[in-house]
Amino acid sequence: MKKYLILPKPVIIIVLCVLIFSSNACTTIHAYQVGGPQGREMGNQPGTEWESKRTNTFLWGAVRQDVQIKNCSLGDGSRLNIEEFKIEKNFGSILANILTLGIWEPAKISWRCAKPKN
Amino acid sequence: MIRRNGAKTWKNIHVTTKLELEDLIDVDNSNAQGHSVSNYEILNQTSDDINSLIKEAKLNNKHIRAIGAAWALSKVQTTENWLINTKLLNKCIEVESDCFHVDYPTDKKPLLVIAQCGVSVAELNVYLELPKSANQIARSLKTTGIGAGQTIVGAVSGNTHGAAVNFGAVPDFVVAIQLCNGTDSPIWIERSDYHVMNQVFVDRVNSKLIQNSDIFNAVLVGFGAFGVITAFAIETEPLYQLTFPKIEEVSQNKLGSLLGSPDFYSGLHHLEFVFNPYEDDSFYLIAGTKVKYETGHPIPAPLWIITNKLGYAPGDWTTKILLKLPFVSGKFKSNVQFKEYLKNAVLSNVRGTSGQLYTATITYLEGYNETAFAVSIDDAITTISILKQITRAMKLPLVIQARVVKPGKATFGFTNLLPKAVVFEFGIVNDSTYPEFEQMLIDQLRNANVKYTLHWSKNSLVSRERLVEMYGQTNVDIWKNSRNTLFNNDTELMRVFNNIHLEEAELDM
Repeated sequence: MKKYLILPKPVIIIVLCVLIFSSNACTTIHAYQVGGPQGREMGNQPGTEWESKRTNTFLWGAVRQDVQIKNCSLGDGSRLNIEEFKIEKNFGSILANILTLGIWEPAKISWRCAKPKN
Repeated sequence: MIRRNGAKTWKNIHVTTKLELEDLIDVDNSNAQGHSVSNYEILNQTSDDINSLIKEAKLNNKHIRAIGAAWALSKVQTTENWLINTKLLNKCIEVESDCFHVDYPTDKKPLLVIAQCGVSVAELNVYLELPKSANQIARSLKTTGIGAGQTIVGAVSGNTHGAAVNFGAVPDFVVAIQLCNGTDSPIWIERSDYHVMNQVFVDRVNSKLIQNSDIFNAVLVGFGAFGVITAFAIETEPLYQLTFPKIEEVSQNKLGSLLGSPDFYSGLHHLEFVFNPYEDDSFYLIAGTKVKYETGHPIPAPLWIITNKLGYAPGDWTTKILLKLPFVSGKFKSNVQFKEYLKNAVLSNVRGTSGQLYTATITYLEGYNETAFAVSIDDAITTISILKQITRAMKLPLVIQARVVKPGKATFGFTNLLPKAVVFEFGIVNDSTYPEFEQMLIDQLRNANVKYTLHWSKNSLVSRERLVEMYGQTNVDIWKNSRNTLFNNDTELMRVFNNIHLEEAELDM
C-alpha cells in the first residue's frame, strides 16, 4: 500500500494559525468617509490611531464573532463616529477558508474613530 | 481627559515607520463632570493633563512624544515608550478683546485665532472659511501644504512648506506658542519684537510668559524636542481665492529665465513646476494668483484621488510592487507615473479657496516615501541637472515636483534659503535605495557647491555633520541653548523628549 506523508492535525492547525496571525494582509477592503462642506475635503481625518481585532465566522455565517468597538468615545464616555474601517485577510485566512470549504472564515477588522465636532 | 490604551503596534500614515509602543495615550477635551466648560478651562485642562503625563514619564524614566496625524514619514516625532495622540484636542478659539497686547495692530485682531494642537489643516480651513457665527468674518490660512490631513502643530513643527512664493511656509503665520514641557507651568512664547497677548490672557491660561525671538524661532520648527505644543496663536487673512490657469509646458531655458526674474513671480501666490527626470527639456509650470473671493465659481474637484468612479484603486502594496517590477525600466515607470500625476495631482485651470484647492487627504500610498530637500532658487537649474543625472544612473522611477517658498525666521527652517527656497519633492519606494539616493544627492550637491537643507519629516536621518553643514554652528547653538533654557537645564526632563533623530544629530543634550 502506498504511503502518503501527511502532517499530524495539530501541526497543520499550528502552521495555519501562524500564517493567520503573523503574515501581512493579502486582501483589504477599505471603507472611509469622504467629502466636506462646500468642497472642503474632510476625508481621512481620524481622531484616533488604528485599533484592530481578529474575528471568525463559522459554518458559512451561522455563527459569527461580532466586533464591539469600545474606543470610539471620549474620556467622559460620549461617543465618536467611526471615520474608517478595513477588513483584511492574509494568506493564512484565505487558505483556512478554502481548506475548510468556508466552514471557518477568519479576518482582521481595523478601524479609526472620527474626531469630535470642533 | 486622559485615556491610556496600553501597548500597541503603531504605524504612521504612509507605513514607513512601524513601532511597538509601550503605551498609546489619548488626551481629549471632555471632563469628568460631563458639562461644557469655557475655552480657557479647555486650554487649562489640556495643559494640566499633558504636564502631568510628562512629569509621570520623567519619574518612570520613559520617553514621551506627541503625535498629530502621523503624516511625518521619518521617525522625527516618535518614541517607542509613550505616544500621546493629540488629534482629539481640536478646538479653535477666538480671542476676547481685553486679551490683546496694547502693541498688537487693531486690524489684525479679528484675524487672529488660537488653534489647539490637534486641529487638522482641513478642520482649520472649514472653521476659518465657513464661520458659524455672524460675528466672525470669513478668513483663509496664509499658506498651506498640498495635503490638509496634518494637525496644525505637526505641520508647523516639521516645517510643512507649500508653495507661497511671496509669503513663506506654514510656520510663518504662527505668532505665539503654548508649550508644556513638564516644568512648573505651561509656557506662552512670543517673539521679543512682536507682542500679541497681554498678561490678562497669559494669566487666564495659567502660563508663564517668555518674549524671546531666539527661543520662539527655535521652538517653531522643533519636531517635538521642546515638549508638547498645546496651542498656537495664528494670523490669517480675509477669505480669498486662488486662480490657476492651465498648466504651461516650458523648456529648461525658459524655466531658468522665469526663476531668475523676480518680476515674474512678484505678483504670484503659488509657484511650482513638475517634471519627469527622463524627459530632456520639458517642465510644467503651475502658477497661482491670489484674487478676491467671489461666489458662483464651480467647486473644484479634490486632487490626488486615485480611486475611480466605481471605487477601484490600487491596493496598499500595489504601487510598491509595480515600482520595483523587474525587467521594466525606470524610464517607462516614470513616464506612466508622470502621465497619471499630470492628470490627477496638479492645479490647472481652476479657481477656489485654499480649503477647496489644497485637499490631498483621502488616499495615500503605503510603503511609499515622499522625500524632500531645498536649495536656493539661484541653484535650481544646477539641481535639476543633478537630479536627472542621479535618477537616470540609479534607474529610479520618479516624478519630481518643485515648489518655491519665501524664506522664514525659524532657526531650523529648512525653507530659509535666500533669496527664495525651491523645495524639490519626490516619491520613492521605502527601501535601501532611499538613503543611498539621498547620500548620492548630497554628495553631488556638495561637489557643485550647492547649499541644501533636508525636509525635517522626510529624510533618512540627519547626522551632526549634516546638521552643521545645513544650518551652521551658530544656529545649532541657538537651538540647543533655547532648549536648555526652556527646560531650566534639567537634563532628566530633556531626556524625556529625546529620540533617535535628536541623538543622531547630537541635539539631545
